[in-house]
Amino acid sequence: MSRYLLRRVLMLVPVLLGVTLIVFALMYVTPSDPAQMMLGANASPAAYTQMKADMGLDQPFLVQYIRFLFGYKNPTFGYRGLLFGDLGRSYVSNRNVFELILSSFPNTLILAAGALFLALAVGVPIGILSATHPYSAVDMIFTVFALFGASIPVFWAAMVLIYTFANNLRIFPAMSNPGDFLSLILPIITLSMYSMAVIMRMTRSSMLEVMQQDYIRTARVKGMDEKVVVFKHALRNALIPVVTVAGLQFGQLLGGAVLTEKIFSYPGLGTIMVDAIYQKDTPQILGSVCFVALTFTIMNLIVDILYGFIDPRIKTTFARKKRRPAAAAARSQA
Amino acid sequence: MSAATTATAAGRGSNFARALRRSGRNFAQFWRQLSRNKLAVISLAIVIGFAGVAIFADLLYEYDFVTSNSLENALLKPGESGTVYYHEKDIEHTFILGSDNYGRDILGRLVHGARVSMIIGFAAVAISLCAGGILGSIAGYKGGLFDTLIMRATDVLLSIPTILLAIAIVAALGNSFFNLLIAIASSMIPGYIRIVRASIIQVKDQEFVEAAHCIGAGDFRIVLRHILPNITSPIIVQSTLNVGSAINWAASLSFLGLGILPPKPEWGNMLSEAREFIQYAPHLLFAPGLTILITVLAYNLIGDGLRDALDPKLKR
Repeated sequence: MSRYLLRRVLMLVPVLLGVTLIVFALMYVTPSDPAQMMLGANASPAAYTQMKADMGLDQPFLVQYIRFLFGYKNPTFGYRGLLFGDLGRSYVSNRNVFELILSSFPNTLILAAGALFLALAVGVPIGILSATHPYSAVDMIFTVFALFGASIPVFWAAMVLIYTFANNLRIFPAMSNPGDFLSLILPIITLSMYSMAVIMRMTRSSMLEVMQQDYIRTARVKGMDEKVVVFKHALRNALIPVVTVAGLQFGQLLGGAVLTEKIFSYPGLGTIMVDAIYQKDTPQILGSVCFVALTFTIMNLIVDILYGFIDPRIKTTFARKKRRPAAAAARSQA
Repeated sequence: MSAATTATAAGRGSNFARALRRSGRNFAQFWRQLSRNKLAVISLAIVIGFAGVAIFADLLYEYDFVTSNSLENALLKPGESGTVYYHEKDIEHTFILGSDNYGRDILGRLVHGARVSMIIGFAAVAISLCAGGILGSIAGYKGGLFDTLIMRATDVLLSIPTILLAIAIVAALGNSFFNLLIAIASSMIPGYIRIVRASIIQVKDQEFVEAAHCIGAGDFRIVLRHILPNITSPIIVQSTLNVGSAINWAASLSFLGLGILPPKPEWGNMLSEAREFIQYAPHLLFAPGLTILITVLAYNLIGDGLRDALDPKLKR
């Protein structure tokens, strides 16, 4: 298991390097001109060239990318580099990029965690209900419900919620901030809709599959109470893929909160990112996109590892791998 | 010699006819399966209707008309009519779904927005399907170094949340229809690479592929003629669902001001413009939103119906 962990963590390095390369390349081809932005429109050509050299923008792509990773020495625009957690200062607010990200990330985390909790709390019980009464009226209703949840545009759902509960009923505020629990309810509902639909469907299909297994029939034949069969025998096995999906959803929620945060003017990472894009604030965009990709990748890794812990079958595969490496290798190839 | 040629041609003809009859039978069977799912059939009708509206948008509303302001008609309620100064004369016009804050006809903008959404939906899926299909086929069929390289690149793309990748691409390339299309298509490519690769790996070791090898078929022919026809089901289902997602993303990005900007009509930017006025004119909120919802829902329902109709395991 520890060797597997080590391999997975090591594999993370090239993936993350690839992410930074893609994001950096995207920012490199952006038609915006930061040197012009810093100087204003009436700068002399000499000052412009000097500014470009100071910012390191006169260098070829590869040099700029390596500086981006390992740091760039310059009295005004220098930074220690992405690998050392420093991308310098934002062009707009002049604040340290990573400090700004780290101060807003907990807010996004609150929103994502709340949304995931809501999605699980509603999605799993409904999924079980649908699976134990397949093709019944209840199942059909929730199927349509889940399809609505998966199809509804997030930003429109947010607008409808604001229109109904903030503008008309005046129960919740239209703007949201992490200190006020009441104001968090609407964004959490908005954000959880999609994940709720996915978790509901996953629980249903996974439960349906498990309920057809032989050991469920055995348990029933033994005369066990249906409740025990459903919740003890079936649910425990059916939840394994649900945990995976929930973990992946959490990663998506962290990065995908952009629209929700923007609409509720929530001071999270998504808002910072979109504002940086509007203002063409390159260091801020680079920093926030890389940061989100990093958390997303780490989240996926945690899900994979968790999977091994909650599914005893996978653990035995690892155990076997030690004893018979050739056979296990052949199996993993297939 | 000429007799031999004729015989071959006749043989080909009858083969072709047989294939046609067989595919006709297959299609009839497939349609029977699909038409059992009433929701999917209704959705298909909706999608075809919307496609028709998108194609004939110019006949229903002139493009100049839906993009020109007439401030005296601002924020009319659905069904109200007003006088519009258009083409140097005053015309009486009924705003079936009301007007927006610039006095532009909402229904007309929805109709022209449908064109944008439909083109982006289909084109993004077509582009990503071709690119992902080719890369996935190479990765799955060739294996080895190709597989490693393509799959690591896929891992990289998948480790950026999809909507974020699309946002970053539009932000980098700038606001335009084409860039929006590229952004959405490239966010979908990794998904296709994975599906195609997984499906190819599943079938490539089966006997019929080996048989094709033995009679001397080339790699290209084997993949195109023998493997791909066997893995169409998951790809068709995924593509249908992706059209819905693409429409949703296009609207989301345009809503954020990254994509198609007003005065060009697009469902997402209509909602973005409506934000300040929903209190006085809720139709600004509900008309475009419900249109997006119905469209995306229809594609998802068709996708579900197709999955059931194409998957023999799920037949009940």
